[in-house]
Amino acid sequence: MLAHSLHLQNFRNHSDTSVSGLAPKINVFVGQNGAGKTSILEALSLATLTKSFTTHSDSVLIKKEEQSLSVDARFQTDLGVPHNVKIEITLGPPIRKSIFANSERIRSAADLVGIAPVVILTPDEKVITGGGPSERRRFLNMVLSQASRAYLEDELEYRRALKQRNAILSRQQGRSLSYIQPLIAPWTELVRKHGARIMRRRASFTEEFRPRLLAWYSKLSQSREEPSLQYLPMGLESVATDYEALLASEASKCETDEIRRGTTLFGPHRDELLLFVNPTQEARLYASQGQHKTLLVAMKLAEFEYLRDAASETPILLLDDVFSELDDDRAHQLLDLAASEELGQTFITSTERSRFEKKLDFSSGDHAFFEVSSGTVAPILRGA
Amino acid sequence: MLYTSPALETLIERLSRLPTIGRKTAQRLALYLLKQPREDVVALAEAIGTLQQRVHTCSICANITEEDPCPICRDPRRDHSVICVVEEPNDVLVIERTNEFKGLYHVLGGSLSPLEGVGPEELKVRELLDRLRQDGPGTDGRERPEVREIILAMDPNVEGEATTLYLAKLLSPLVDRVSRIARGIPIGSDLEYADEATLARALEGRTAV
Repeated sequence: MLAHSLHLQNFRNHSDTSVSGLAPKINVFVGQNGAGKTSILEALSLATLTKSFTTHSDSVLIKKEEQSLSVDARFQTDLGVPHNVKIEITLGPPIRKSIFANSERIRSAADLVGIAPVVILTPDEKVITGGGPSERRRFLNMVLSQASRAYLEDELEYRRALKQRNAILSRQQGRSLSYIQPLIAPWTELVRKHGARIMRRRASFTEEFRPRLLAWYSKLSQSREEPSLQYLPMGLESVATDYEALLASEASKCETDEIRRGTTLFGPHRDELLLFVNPTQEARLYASQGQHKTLLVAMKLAEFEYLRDAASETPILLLDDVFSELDDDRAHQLLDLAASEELGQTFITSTERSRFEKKLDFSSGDHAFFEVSSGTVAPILRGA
Repeated sequence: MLYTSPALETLIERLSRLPTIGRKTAQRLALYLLKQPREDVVALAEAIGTLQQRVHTCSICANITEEDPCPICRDPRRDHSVICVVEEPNDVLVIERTNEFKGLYHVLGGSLSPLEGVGPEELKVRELLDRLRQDGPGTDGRERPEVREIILAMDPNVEGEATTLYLAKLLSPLVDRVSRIARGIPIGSDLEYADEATLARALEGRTAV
């Protein structure tokens, strides 16, 4: 997938910004803090994932004192088919978001997510290797929902069923099991059904992802770490592959506890994906700062590769302010990779200009250089 | 902006309380009504005014009707041994339009949604169970034929699914057959254009030929 042009209206501090002449390989956006560089990447995230990667709230994306925003993004698939996305968000209440793909109104996010796959790397993503289990579940969802529409639908329906089930458990807290059981039974069945499908996909993803992660890590690092990952359904060291049965047995075990605590205690929302820097060393506990960084970059590159194969479409890579976090060696390595044929179109934001001027040849047409300042974007001419 | 006429302002305020109508649309509608012939506006007001007086819910199937029981429940030509359970009165209209279903209906008045405080008690579930109990004549004085089949036709979302599961369990001991409407590929479309999720459901609900 290639992005050709972007048009932002009342998006963050951009009143009316057009970015055209995007290059097929690396697009660098430089500017000072607060200039509006990240907004360009956020707009791309909105046009591909239907949401920003920095916030859950759509309303904060609208420029101050304005009522609505729009983002127009023009893409082209690997096969050369145009794919145009327009998103409008209007302040409410209730806040309204309209999504159009090729001028046709889209009803569900599931109709858009995955068409233009994206891989996002920002300094905030370091919680994937260092944070709690929920961060790695978020990673799993991010990859799998772009790779498979069926996964995304299961995930959305699972969340809805879980919420409904929790509503009964919390409102009827303390009531007898015999009173609550018939009420939660249909929701339990739905949580089990969608949950089992989610778990099956997460388990097979882990197997497919492991060799890719190892390969990318070895490519990035001269040292001999052997990173790996292990999927623990509901945190259990289970070799079972019948997730429906596993969920059923867990569900019956925690029934009384659930009624006491007023919340659902089984299901993939309690999954863990363990990340190892070496076969017996969990990254979260044992990895050094440097190993964390290499591991995160390797995860993202493996994600790129996995998505490319699963979605049969080259993902777009968004690197938001990552070069300030990496030491020179790793930064150069990543930049070389982005410029190579191994990766596709890449968007980079940075406050420093010289690294890219030295390293990239902007005269070839493969790369483009833009300066962002107080909500405006201007191409930097060759040699300027 | 407030208009100088309190009457106009009241109408705009009332109209904007309707679903999908915002203040701007309400203003447009109010100003449109202002320009229409007086008798048209009075006819509209009358239609709205008598709506709740004339329209009731059927005491048997809970569908909307002006006579109780409703014409569908009273029709001797319909198959009284099959009941199709739907969420809303609108669903009855849609199924009737197919001309394929000759049984009776039961309108639940929604689907299970604990988040919105809707449990079985809030839906017409007890009324449905009453219909299946075979003691004595119906409200029209005649013997009611035994109900043999229940068809569940809920919306294809999580809440509809939960309602289907709930009712299936509750009703199976009481009738010969509980079925649900099929979900899958729309007619006239191409298999290759169906999304994975729909196709997966269609496979799940495959039928013998």
